Amino acid sequence: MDIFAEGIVRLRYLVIIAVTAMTIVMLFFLKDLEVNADVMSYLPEEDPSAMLFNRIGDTYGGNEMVIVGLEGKHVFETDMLELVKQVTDSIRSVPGIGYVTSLTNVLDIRGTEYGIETGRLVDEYDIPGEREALDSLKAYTLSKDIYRGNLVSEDATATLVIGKILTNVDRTEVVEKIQQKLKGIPFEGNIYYGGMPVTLLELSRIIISDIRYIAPLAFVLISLVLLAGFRSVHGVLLPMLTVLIAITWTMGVIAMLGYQITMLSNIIPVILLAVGSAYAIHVVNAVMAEKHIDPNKALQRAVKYIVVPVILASVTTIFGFLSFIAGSYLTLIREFGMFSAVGIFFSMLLTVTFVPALLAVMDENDRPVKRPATSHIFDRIPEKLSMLVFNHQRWLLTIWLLLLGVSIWGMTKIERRVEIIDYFQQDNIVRKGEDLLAEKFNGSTPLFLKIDGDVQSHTVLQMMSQAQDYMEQFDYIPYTQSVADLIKQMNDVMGEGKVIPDDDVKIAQLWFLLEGQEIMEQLVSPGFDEGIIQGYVTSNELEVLREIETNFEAFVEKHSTENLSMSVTGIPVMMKRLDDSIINSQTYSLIIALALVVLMTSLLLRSFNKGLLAVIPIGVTLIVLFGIMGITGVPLDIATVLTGSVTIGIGIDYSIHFFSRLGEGQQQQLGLQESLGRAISISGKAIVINMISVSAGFAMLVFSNLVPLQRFGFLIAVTMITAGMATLTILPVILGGRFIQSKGKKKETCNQKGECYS
Amino acid sequence: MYAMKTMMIKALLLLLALSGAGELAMAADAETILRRMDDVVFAGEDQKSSITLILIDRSGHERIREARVWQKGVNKRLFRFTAPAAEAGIAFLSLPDEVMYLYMPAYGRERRIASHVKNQSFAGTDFSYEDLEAEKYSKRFSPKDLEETEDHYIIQLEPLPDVRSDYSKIIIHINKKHFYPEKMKSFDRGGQEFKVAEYTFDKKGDYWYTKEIHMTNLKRDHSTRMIFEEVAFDTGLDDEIFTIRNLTRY
Repeated sequence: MDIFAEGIVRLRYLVIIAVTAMTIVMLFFLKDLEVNADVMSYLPEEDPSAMLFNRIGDTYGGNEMVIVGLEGKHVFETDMLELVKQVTDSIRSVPGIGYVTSLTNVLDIRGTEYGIETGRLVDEYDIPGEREALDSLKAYTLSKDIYRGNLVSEDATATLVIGKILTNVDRTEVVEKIQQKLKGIPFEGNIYYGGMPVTLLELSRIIISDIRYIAPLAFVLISLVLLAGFRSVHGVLLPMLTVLIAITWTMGVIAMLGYQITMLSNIIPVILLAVGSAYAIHVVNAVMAEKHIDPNKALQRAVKYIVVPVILASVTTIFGFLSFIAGSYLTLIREFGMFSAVGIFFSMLLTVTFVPALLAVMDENDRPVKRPATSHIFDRIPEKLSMLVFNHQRWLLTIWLLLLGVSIWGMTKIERRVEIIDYFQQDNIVRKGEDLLAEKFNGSTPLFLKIDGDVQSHTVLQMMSQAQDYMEQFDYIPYTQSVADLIKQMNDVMGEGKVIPDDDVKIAQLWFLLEGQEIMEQLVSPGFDEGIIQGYVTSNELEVLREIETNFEAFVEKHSTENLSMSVTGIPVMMKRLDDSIINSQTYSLIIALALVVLMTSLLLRSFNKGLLAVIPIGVTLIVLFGIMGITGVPLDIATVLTGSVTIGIGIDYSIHFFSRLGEGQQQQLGLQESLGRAISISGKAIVINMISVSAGFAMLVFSNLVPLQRFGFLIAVTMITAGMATLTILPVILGGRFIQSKGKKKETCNQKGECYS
Repeated sequence: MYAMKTMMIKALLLLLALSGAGELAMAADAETILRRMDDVVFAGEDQKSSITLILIDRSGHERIREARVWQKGVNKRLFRFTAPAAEAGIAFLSLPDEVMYLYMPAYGRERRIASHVKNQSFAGTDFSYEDLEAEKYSKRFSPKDLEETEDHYIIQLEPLPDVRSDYSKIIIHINKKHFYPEKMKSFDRGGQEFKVAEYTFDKKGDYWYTKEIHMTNLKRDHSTRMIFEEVAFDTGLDDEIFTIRNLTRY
């Protein structure tokens, strides 16, 4: 290690130049970095429900919709209908839109005493102006359930214009164009937007604006805490610079290898900020600690000491993240594990090379560091902790046990939720739009049931009709549509009632009339060998999704025959699968990572007991984290489960540094208690600085416009503080337990250096 | 000298007149061309033929329908399907004043159809009711010269103010020699190209007749070939053919 430390100092300029060059190269790649916020694309292409969903999109003219709600005026007024027509035409002219359905272009088939009348519900060339005509249009429209709740609300105060988006187009771009066009249309009421593509666009808009405003704020705050902690420019510059470079390199590598940023991998900078800054803080802290003892050769001595724990911590963390790769169903989890590991590696590499090199250069012009006259808060916290550890271990243990007990109870209360809509605050346009759709309309989340078989046969149409009845018995599926509805309607028009005709020839002849209608292409395949039932779900609550999954699968299985098979897909089904996969694999990975960490630390500390002890802070933090989530009602979802990963990274780091300082003390033949005192005071300072700075930075996320980011910020702060406190109190209490007990029941008081007296 | 002057003035006037007339002649040209095309397309007092409809979906899958068609004047037409078997006998009877009847043999009864939408697909094809209208183009559209190539007049049609059309414009390539259309590109009301029809004409007696129209709907990615056979003109079709009694007689 001596040679290594000397080498870095000698080659300092070379190291700095190499790092700068690499950073420039990575910045070059970084500009091509793409973000993929499309949650639906995260399921593997070979996933059955994703495959079916995409196939339905290709076959039936789009599987996703953008829904525009016009609200605020009575719908059946001439000017309002004119507006609907204008909006319909605007949306229709946007490239990437397959079909548009609205009051002014929907085809209406009605049986009259004279015969069959087909026409537009509203004649767009001749929108009614007379009160009487408007009232009769209203009465007629609201009497038909294909319009009521689908195109116009029951109270006639809101109406929808629905555009189907083609597959293989940039859905968010289509939504953006529609929003731009509609901005130019004057309307006194409210325009709402709904549908998954709208949600995704809004999501990426908010993330980008949040990053723009919150990231700099967080950096400033972290820097201020670092400045307060170290009272030196080095102490701010080095950790921040290291983190920034590590993030740049990692993101650069992601772009260079042609990957995209996903909802998981965008957490990587967060992990690097927390863990990477900790690495650099340890180095700076070690150097400063050495300087207080002897300013000469402080750097080399500090490097010699700190390199090993930093490497050990990072290697263990890397293994922890690599365990995410094994057995994960989703590619995005594999990518997340892999690139987090890469990022940790870069942070470690920079910490052991670039940080000392830069310190060496800075040292050349550095003024000698004076120990501050009065110790400040970041020294006082470890001091206070030492006092607690040595004098009030029972209290400490009781408090932790209580906390753990409450947390375990809290864990049982943890909620699972997958509603993306919960991500948005109450006043967000997506939330308002979805509220309107759920309140006044039949919902906006498409659910498909595909039926394979001869769709022109009585058997298949009858089954479709039966399946629709089955679906509509659930409150959250208010409306479904299929070709069976159209056939029944036409049969009624022909005077034989609203049923599927028994005679296949009759069906063929009704079919003949329906063929070529836009709606047919959205419901049956061109070869007539399959058809879909399109339903809408008004709720995405997990309970509902579970019910859909289990009930529908049972229904499909029960009724599928040799000539007729059925399958279910749709956004609710895919969301559930995605969420299940992420939560399961994260939980699984956390357990594997914990086991790996025990193994690694046991090897490193050459003791299985110590290995087990080292993961205690991680285990405690995880329990407290999930417990607090349960108590505060923060649901376990795709975003929040990731705080577990941060816990592992930071927990390992804290434990290893603690054990490393402890080992150093024992090597110097100091007593256990004194070694513990040193470990708490030296590594404690780094831990406290890291803990407070990162928590403060993430606390800035309360200003985010996305609810999960606010929660994420809160949970990271919880994680950092719990991990830090657990390391600095539980570990020494357990380690010192034997020592304290061996002293008998004699009451002792110890100071922060572990010197005890009666 | 005076005579000379008069002559020169006359010549100048003539030149002026000619240049002005030239513009007029151009404007008149498009109208003339369209009228001449109408004469070719809507030739004969009456017409009967057999039609094969080949529907081609985006994956190239084909479906075939056959029908017999009788047409008298501009607004009497009977369309009776003969194949496939399940659809045989389905018939449409169009009468003046947009009155239309449908007969479905499986139900054994006729139904009057009032359709206010001309852009609906006819029998699952890429032809809309508007595309199949027998009213002359010059009565529905105002033409404009676009271009003249070696073989074609290219003119652009826009619907007349009081005409309801699903198209904002149609660009037609007209054969210069025989005045039949060879290609029509129709644009939707948003101005996007919507349908392309390619025509093949043949001559029978004095008349040129449509042998095939290949209509592609660009939005649907679907096309239809309408092939005309056994075409006969001016056979003196009886008005009895165009009655409800005849419609249901199958």
